[in-house]
Amino acid sequence: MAIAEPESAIVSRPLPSILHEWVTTVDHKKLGIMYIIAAFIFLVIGGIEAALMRWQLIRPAEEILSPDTFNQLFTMHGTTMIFFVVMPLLIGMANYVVPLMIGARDMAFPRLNAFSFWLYLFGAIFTYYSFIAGGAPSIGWFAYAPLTEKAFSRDSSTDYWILGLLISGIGTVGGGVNFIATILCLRAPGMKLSKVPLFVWIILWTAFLIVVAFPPFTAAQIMLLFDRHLGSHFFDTQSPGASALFWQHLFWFFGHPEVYILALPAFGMISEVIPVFSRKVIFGYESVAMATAGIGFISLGVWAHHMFSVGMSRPLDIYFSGATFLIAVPTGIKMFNWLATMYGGKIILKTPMLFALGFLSMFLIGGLTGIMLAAQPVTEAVTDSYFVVAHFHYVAFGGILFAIMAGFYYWFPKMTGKILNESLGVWNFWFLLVGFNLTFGPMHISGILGMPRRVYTYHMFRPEWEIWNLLSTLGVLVQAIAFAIFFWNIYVSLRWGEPAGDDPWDAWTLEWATTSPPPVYNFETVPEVKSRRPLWDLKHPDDPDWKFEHF
Amino acid sequence: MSAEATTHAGHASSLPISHEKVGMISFLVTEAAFFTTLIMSYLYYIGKSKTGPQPADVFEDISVTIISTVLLLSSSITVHLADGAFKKGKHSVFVRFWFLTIALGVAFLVGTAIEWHGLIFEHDLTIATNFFRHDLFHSGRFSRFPRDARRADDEYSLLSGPVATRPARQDGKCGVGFVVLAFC
Ligand SMILES: [Cu+2]
Repeated sequence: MAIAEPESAIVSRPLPSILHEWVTTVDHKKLGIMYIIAAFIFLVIGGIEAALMRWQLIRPAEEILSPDTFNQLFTMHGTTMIFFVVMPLLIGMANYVVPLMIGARDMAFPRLNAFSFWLYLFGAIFTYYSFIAGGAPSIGWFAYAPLTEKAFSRDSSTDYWILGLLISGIGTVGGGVNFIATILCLRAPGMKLSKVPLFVWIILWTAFLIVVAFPPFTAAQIMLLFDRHLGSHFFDTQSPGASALFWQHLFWFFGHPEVYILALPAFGMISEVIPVFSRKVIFGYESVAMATAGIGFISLGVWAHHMFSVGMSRPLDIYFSGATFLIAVPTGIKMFNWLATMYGGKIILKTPMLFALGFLSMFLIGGLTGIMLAAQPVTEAVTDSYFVVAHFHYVAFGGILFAIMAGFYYWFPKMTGKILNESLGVWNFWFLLVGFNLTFGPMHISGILGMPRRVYTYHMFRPEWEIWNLLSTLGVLVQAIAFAIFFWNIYVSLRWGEPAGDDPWDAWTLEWATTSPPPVYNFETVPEVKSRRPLWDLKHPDDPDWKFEHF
Repeated sequence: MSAEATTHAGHASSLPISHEKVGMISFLVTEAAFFTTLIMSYLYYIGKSKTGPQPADVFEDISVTIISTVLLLSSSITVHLADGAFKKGKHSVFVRFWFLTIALGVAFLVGTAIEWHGLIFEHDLTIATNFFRHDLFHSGRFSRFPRDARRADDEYSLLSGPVATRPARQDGKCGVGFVVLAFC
């Protein structure tokens, strides 16, 4: 019913009134969409930064970028993609979908929700203001000490990094608190925690990680600010007793869980998409749920695998190596769950499923190189090389971003009332898959051949590096085409796309029970939830799930 | 639409505690994580100061510290009593405990100011000198927060900060600025 109405209503209203409505909104759906839009803008910016770096590295001794600019670019690229793109994309989509999935009217704290969004946006803009204020930070996204100390970073660029991330980080913590309260307290009647959609369960654990891992980062940033402006010496290695290593501990105590703050929601999206497009119930709901909890806890105890090369003690090396191997177990369990869900299913290869399959294969590669790197001697050999860059891009891009694309194609009809064009979606997928592999596949090889990361150029005396760098840069072009198709698809589909209807994928979770887009109040009535697939029960009263579920 | 839309209450299956309480507990977890990090920092840096003054030098007489702490903890009790009275509608009792809480808070601030004045101007101990300062900062800053958070903070109030080696110097200006900042 509500498909044609909102559009004509929007068109007829003056722009200031629309803007006012969006800026002042506390509606989780509008905030979710604003998160996503802001994140896409930063995705383009972060992509341009990466493209500039690849352009510089296309051949040896290229002179497009100065060394200092290059440092700024890799710092801002990493910071942007992690804090201003992937996290807000995930939080934004969760913002939109979680209350709908659990049959709630909104998040538990709608104003806190708006506050979190604006903190994120202003934190991001603040960080970027450094470009205007004399130069962006050039300290790496991990901001290793003592590069961040006054002695080495005299201008204010590092302060922009600290304060910008501190501001947006507080917003993220607010989001974490909000998700926990929402998921624990606002579920529809009958929806026990053992019956929530896996995406919701996983967001709960993500929020737990946010709440536990972000405040230490904030504390570390405040200590760093004290170093820079109040003359303390926590991380200033010029002072005896101070410790650059301790910054690494603090940073990675946050930094590794952060990887799972990004990866878990991606797993959640995959856990929603694969069953629907395999026309089967998820295989082993309980084991996916338990594996999530396992990852949540183990990920708090593996951080120093980022520090194998600093020369920790042997027992520490062994512990962190072992713990890191251990975390591959629950992750592997999930992989098998997804594969087993597809096995024997009636697989529908629409775009969301294509991206989900892309996720499975790319994340598998990233996961396997991760297991290699979990062995301390391997890290010793390839640390700070392009092999590591390849590894985490297969995790963060081939894995997480592909999953986000799957989720975006999946939930776009709910958010807008329009289905994304399918053939453009297929083109988008294949260009991205090819471009991605062309860029990051060769980095495995250039890395093993010894090419260090974070160098702005390389010498002609290493001819064996050249071809791999050339391929990587060409891959960026293909990726750029993929993203152009993607944004074009959004535009085309919004304007001329076919109406989605309430439930275009014949799915089973509650968000599909309401209109697309949903009304402000989300649901007219929320059904009594009796199983993990409440919408299935509604559609098939003769064969409901709850007859077979015993939790 | 309208009748059902306004009557949907939902949430029958959810936790027996309110979302406000869950939110507050989650927030306290973030606080605990924050302060745990500071404690870990303290443990990491303890004993690494190469220059004085050391804790024993400046905390010979901790009576002011103890009194301030007692006042602060007491204010948690009085604000709790005020809260209870407010809920029961006993207005005059509420007002009494409310102002008692404020008075205790002010007394705590005064005690802390005296203490910090001593540290900064007698012992020349600022954050740039070596230890102490920054935890005092944290305990002070957050102790005006909602009551539960405050209790947690106080336990950490004697933690210490970083090592420093620049010769003891300065007139304590940044330390004083700090005191101001801390109580905002
Ligand atoms: Cu890690």
